[in-house]
Amino acid sequence: MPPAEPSTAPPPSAPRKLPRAIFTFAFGLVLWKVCTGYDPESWVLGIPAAGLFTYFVITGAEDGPRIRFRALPGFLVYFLVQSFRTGIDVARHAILTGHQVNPGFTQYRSRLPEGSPRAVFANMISLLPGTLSWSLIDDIHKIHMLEGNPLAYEELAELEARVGKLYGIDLPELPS
Amino acid sequence: MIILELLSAVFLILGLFFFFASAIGLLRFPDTLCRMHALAKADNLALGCIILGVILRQTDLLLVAKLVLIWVITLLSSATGGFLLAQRIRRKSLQTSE
Repeated sequence: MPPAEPSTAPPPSAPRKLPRAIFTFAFGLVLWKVCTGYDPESWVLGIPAAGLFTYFVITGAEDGPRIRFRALPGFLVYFLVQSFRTGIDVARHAILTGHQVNPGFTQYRSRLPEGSPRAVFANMISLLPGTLSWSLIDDIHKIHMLEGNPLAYEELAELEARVGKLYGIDLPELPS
Repeated sequence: MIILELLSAVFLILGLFFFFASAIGLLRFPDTLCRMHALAKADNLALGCIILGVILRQTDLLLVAKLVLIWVITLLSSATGGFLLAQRIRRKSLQTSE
């Protein structure tokens, strides 16, 4: 039975594009400032560059769920903790196990909608200990595993739920 | 000040350790995909530790922001690049098996 469609927030309407454009332009200016430092003459290029950045972000953006900035700090903490766990896991395998690793593949059916959330999930799979995103065809993520991990499915489901929360998506229950 | 310098040294040494582990993984893991685990994970953590170690010695906020930006961009490009490389390997293995 196919999984139920997740409930997502409605796409933002056209009038909401203006505040988004202003926010994106301000973000572009901050990025320019960070990259170029204290040189005031650089704004001759910086302001048009921030304008172009805004244009490409606004015109290239898909209509669909967007990242909720309120959910970002919690996700970043999760990301940092997982990065640390993952780094230690790989270091342990590299130094202690080395040639004796027992790699394999597994599959995971995503409950996230197509587009940005699913792509972020595919990228983040590589963040979990022992898993590397190998392909994404429709809603099936094929995953390379460094070593068999019985908790991998639960960890993938938790990561998926966190990506969903980041986008404000309520995921349906996992099929038992 | 001494505590900050000590913490900085700890993070720099941790960063070096994870870079070392990543290089060992690159040499010892049996195939390309396993080696990508080492590159996509331990390297990112190593860079994060090195950057944190350097940040603890900085007083210029703009430089701190630049260092964080470097790490964020590296993380994004590493995750995306790793996924694209894995897909390329998958396509190549499919072509070989046909």
